[in-house]
Amino acid sequence: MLVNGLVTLLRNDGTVSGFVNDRILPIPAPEDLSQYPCVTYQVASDLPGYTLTNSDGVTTSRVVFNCYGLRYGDAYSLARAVKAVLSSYQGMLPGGGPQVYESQIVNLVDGFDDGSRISRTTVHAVLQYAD
Amino acid sequence: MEFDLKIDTSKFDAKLAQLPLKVSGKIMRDALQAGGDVLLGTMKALAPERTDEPTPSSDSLPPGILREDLHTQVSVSATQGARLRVGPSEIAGHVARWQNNGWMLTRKTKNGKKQIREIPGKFFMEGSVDESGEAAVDAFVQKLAEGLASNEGAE
Repeated sequence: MLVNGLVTLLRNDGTVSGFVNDRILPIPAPEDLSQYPCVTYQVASDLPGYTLTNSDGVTTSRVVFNCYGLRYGDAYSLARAVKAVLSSYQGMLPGGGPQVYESQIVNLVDGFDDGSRISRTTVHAVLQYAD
Repeated sequence: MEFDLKIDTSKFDAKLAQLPLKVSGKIMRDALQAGGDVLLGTMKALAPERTDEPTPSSDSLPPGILREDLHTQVSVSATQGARLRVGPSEIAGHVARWQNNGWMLTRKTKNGKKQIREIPGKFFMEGSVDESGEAAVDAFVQKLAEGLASNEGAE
């Protein structure tokens, strides 16, 4: 599965794991503040390609990584580290794939939540992969 | 939230420039509307609708308003160019942002500690561009070509 491979890829990166250890989780974000900084992920779109007769075997997916920190600098630096791993990534994802043909970071958005005082920088990655 | 779709329309531009301003403006407006209708349809289909039980004192918007509020806005100006916007108005704009991007619910517990709970974003606006951006461009280009063909010789 695409997201499992991406999570393993991020966990294998020294800079990302230096921030979050293994706290790269599916949504929602943890309620326990001791679990921050962390990354949550979700698939915003996953669009298979088709020929006139069948699937063309290539799916385009937008995966959103929410990088949370109790300080702005943590969230932003974490997002930059995630971006560095995923930007232009090509190859077989660790842990059994799938094969990623192309990976683009299409947006990186800062945010701050007034009530919780938690900073979030969101990384939007669009990947084309074998499906 | 803004998304850019870039299309090379230089050949269309040259043709449009030969037409009277009123005619070229209408062709461009119709073409942008055609593309916008495609995006709007998908955005409405993906827009979330609240399913919770409203509390009596709640001032939140009723179910379905977000979807109904999504609309297209086309503007064509000789000085500022042509623009298509797809999204909510000021009625549901704030709700659209929360629903699209998500937010943190916070409350204080009895012992004064802060408790948080994330409401994840639905990213329905990004999803609609991903899903139908290409089809929207196709509709735009087709309508533009039709408009130019029907006004061939009007210059």
